[in-house]
Amino acid sequence: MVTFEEFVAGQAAGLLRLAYLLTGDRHLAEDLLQTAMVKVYRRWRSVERAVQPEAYVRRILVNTSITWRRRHVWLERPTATGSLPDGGLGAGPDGDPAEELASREAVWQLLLRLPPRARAVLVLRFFEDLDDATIAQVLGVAPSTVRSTASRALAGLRAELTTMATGGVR
Amino acid sequence: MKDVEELVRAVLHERAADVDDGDAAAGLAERARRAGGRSPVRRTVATGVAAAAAVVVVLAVHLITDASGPSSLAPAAPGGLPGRGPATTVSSGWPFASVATLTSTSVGVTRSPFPPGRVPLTSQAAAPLTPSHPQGCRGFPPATPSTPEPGPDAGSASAGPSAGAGAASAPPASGSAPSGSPSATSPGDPFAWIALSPPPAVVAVSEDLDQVLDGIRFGGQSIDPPDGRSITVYVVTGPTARAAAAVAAGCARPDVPVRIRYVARGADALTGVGETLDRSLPASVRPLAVDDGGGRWLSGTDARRNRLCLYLDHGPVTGPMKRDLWIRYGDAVELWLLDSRTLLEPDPAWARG
Repeated sequence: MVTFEEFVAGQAAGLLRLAYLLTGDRHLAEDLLQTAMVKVYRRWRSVERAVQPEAYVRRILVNTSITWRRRHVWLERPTATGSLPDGGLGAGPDGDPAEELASREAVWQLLLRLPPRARAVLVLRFFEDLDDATIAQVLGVAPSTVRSTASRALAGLRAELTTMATGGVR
Repeated sequence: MKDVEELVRAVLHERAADVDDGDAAAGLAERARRAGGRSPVRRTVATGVAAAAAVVVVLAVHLITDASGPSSLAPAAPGGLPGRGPATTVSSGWPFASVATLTSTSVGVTRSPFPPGRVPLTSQAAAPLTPSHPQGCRGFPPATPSTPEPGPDAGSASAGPSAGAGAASAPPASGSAPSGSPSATSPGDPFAWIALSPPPAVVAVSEDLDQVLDGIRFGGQSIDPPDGRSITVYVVTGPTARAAAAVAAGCARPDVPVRIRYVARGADALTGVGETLDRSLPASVRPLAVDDGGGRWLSGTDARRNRLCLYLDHGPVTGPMKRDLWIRYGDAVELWLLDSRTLLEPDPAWARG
């Protein structure tokens, strides 16, 4: 039977990355991870008996992050446009403006602006590579909700990037 | 354009790869243990015991009242009988104070009777740090108290020259029992309030602690922003060892333990109860990107980010540092008080050193 310390040692790095993607801030990620681990420790007897304790912890982490956002605990919010790449989003050297416009920094900033659940859905889908049913279990929602949330989030991102690509630099 | 899904996937993996997780697990389990309590079972038992003891105390008080004085339901006889004067009459605040004292020594999950935004400081072995104890912790020479400078909304603030003054100015609506209870000022009582500020008032600086810390500035303030989160800010300046000792021991004396009881509005658990402040420091003490030659700030937040501890390890406090601190956290609404020179002005004796 794995101990709590062993579990933390094995999972901390991966969970910290997940927390960072959910929060967008390293310090917040650390706090989120520690908060989640406190909850895990309090329920450790149940967690250690779980078939997939890491999934249980991931669920705590994700839902805690969403709860934080709902409570407006995070007072540091991304600015509307200030952190997008400087110099506009013009054509790249290869003549394909879309490639340049869809810079990863811009995508990251757009991700940060998503509602917490939408970001969690995208992170779980594209970083954790979870299917919709598993994501639904993590978030405690229906799979259809996951699909619709992801669809809306991706559509919004696509629209934003398209706007930037066509010259509607914000 | 690349498909947005591919972009998102790539960006997420790229960002995740940038996270330095080398020390992610370092101390995390221990911090979680501390915050979660050593033993959930033991904590539950302790909570039950504390609750039962509190009920017993309250019942005993009422029994004593009924036995020694007129019933609360019956009108008091004019003049009363000998021995049934005010000395034996239990005021409405007394049982509350008894319960508060009792629960202050229990384990963390006990629901605190203290209203949000108040930070009682319990010193187990020291004399109370109240105006009635100007010598503070066993005779530390008091420094010259400074005059608090009102903040931007000083009109609503309850800033006072001392914790006792802050307590006295707290309106009843925001928790009259602790501020009005004997525990706030009575000699020998284990409570000393270092930060009392009813919402939306914001500032209460403990000049008493300034005195007892012998040249080390220590300010405490409690803030209740509109979102309901309570934040307690401590500011300690001085040489590293002294500041650390001050935070850890409260009186710059390692043999005088200090416990910080923190009550956050809406908190799901009183994580910080019973923990000494120094034990919370390793959780997230992080150097801020401020080092302009005058000093270096360290900050520590508790697991739920509702307590912010600030330490200046050396050097004078300067304007740029204050601005940097402001910008760094971005919580201008909450932290503008840090710009108060009342809190951050170097102590003259320390500046000379």
